[in-house]
Amino acid sequence: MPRSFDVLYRQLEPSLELLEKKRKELRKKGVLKGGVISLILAVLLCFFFSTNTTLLFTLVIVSSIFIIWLSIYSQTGQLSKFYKQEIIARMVYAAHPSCSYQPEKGIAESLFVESGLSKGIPDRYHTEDLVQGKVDKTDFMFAEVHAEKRHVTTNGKGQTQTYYSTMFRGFLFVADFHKNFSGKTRVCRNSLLKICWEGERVKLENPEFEDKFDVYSSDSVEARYLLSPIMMEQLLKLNYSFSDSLIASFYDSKILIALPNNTDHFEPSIFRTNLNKEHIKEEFNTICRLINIIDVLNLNTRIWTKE
Amino acid sequence: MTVGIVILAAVLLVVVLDYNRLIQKSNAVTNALGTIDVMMKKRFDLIPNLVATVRQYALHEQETLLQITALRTESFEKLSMDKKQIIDNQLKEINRQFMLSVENYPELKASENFMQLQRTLNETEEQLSAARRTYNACVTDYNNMIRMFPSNLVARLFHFKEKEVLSILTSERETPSTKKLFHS
Repeated sequence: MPRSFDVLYRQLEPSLELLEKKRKELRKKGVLKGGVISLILAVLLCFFFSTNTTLLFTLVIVSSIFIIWLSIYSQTGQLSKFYKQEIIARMVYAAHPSCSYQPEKGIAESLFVESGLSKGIPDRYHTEDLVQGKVDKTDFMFAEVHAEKRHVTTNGKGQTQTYYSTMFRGFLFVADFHKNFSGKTRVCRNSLLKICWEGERVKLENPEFEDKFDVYSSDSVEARYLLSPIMMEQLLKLNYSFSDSLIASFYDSKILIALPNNTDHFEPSIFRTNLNKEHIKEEFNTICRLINIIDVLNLNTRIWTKE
Repeated sequence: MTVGIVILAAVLLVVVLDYNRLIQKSNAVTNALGTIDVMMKKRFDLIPNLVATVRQYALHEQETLLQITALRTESFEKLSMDKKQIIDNQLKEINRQFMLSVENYPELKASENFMQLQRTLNETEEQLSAARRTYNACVTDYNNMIRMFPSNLVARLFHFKEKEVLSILTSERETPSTKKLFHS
């Protein structure tokens, strides 16, 4: 297992070169397709704006740039497929050989909603890039999730406009928890208003933890059983390693951790070269850090009745 | 006159609200104490299993065996809370010492029964610790109300008394000596 990134990068280099070749081909294809469409459009525009040369010139330039950009961008799907299968899948395996990667799959919306990580039911839910595996005794999975809420506004003329706001975007990490429990405990970000729409608020002894989070649970004793002093320390450590944005939920014998992130990970760029060692290293580190959550939280310590 | 009535009504409202909150917090303390009781009972009920396992593999631990059996002579429900607390502390101490001497009995250590028992004891211990933390949180909440203004006046008026938080055993405060552990 090439845990060292340099070894892995050397192994990936032939595929990355192939990816680069493919990217150039697809970009060329996009430029050609876009160019033809732009040419047809330019001829059509000549008929309508033959008298105003300045306007005609501006319209042709702007529309051509837009059409060519769109045409190149539309080729990303093909490049993405190759990148995920040949690069990401191998990086996932290198990070931990028990892991499997399914780019089209994700984490069920029902689990995301029922765990209490989202405030309400999302109106649009997209998930992809599922990584599943088992580290020692702990089963885990993580995927990218984008949950959105629909808003409808009506103006004075009675016209309605629909737009979506992000409820959550980032990685959702789910792992088998090492203790048995039956209730639901949520670790939310600390807020001024302690509005509790589900369960009771549980005040904990760690001041730093209390400063960062608000805990709500269906059973306060169970919440303290799960959030032992050491677990609070570990969650704080994890929180700082993921840009101080973590929220978590203990539900259905699992721990669910939501890590907000606005970057669309595991996607290649068709406009820029992907032969970028730093970028690949960043993606590999992301995978390793997510798998490492199991060690940070000591989820393999099985000294309780759950084996 | 009207101002006087308004002030009186406001004072009465504060008294009623604070009184109800004190009752609520006092009940929460009682409830938390009940949870500790349940957890202690759970641990108490593990005694026969512990005795059976020890008897099978660690015959030399007669003294421990006798100590453990002695704790199980009375029915847990009939004991007072103080007595329960004392027994629980004794059981915890015996258990702690016994777990240290387990190294001398490789067969016992490797037995399926013992491993399962050890897991159950660990779990009960952790649950009991959570119940104690809940109790202490409830007591702190309740005591804060008794000490803070204006609820302290209401508490004094209706004779609400401060409650004590649970503290750990003196033996648990000691740092374990590795030298002692290796020669046990």
